[in-house]
Amino acid sequence: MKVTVKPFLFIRDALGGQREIEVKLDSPATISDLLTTLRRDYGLPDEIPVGRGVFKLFDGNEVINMVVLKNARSIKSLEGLETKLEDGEEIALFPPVIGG
Amino acid sequence: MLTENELERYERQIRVFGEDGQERLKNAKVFIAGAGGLGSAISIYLTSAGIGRIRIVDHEEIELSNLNRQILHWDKDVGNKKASSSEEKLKKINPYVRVEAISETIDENNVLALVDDFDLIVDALDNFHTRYILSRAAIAKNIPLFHGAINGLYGQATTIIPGKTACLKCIFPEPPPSMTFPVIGATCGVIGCIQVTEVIKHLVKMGSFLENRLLLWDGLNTKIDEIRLERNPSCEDCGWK
Repeated sequence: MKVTVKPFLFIRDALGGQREIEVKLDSPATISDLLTTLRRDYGLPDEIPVGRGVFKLFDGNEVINMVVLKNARSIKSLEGLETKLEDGEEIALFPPVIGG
Repeated sequence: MLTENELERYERQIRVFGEDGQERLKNAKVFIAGAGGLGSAISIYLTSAGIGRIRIVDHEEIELSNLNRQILHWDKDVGNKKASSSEEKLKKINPYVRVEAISETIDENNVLALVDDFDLIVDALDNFHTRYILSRAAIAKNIPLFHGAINGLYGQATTIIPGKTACLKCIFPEPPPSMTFPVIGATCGVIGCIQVTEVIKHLVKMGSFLENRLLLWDGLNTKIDEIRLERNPSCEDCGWK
């Protein structure tokens, strides 16, 4: 199957600057499988230098600082990392922005 | 009814949305949560635009390190309450606006009384714990919430209409980790001005909105993107709506 990954802000920069990445996955696949593939084959890092600091996306296999939406819905309101993926689905990845 | 002085004062924007639009702004009551970086830009532009009544709430005191972005507060104000500093400046900017600045911490117990019968809420907060409280108040009162947040050279904004769009809890079911965020003042200006534009369009009834769209500002590369959003039908905050 193929899914479309849309990275935003500095996560996009870390993945080479493309607005969309088509990722092939073996069926059945989950968000966890997709993130493993992005880290292994596409260079998604555990942490990204931002300004003079570092933004940590992963702690081991735990996603600590990245919002993941599947078809416009947070995976945290679905089945988290075990959320199943279907062919043609769209995954958005973006860093949370909290300040004011 | 607009006075001659008001007609002259707002002449350039009356050309955009008409005298009836300006009347709508004059009759509007806008609640701003936070008088920091975003709150400064938001309150200055909404006051200048002639909103009838503005209530701005912030419990903090002004620190020297706030001054790079919190343009309502000046060097002489360090150590004073952000609320009193805001009220002083905003009343001077536009004496036609009724400004009420309240130095309180927004919490579950006081939020409904603070928001009272205001027409809409502008989110200029710096943490998700209080944002969820504000979002639930907007849902309970069935009024729009204009969300914005910033970090460094980055920012985001969306317009939340209860029962129609994803709420904050739909988008972020769990609060992102708290951190001391870096920021340049201009990022607050960019995002605050987007929020103000949404508020004014909503009040004068023109244009379309950031509904179910999260706008992302990438100041490092000078790009704007947007992410499509959907409501979570079983959202604990808005699923019943």
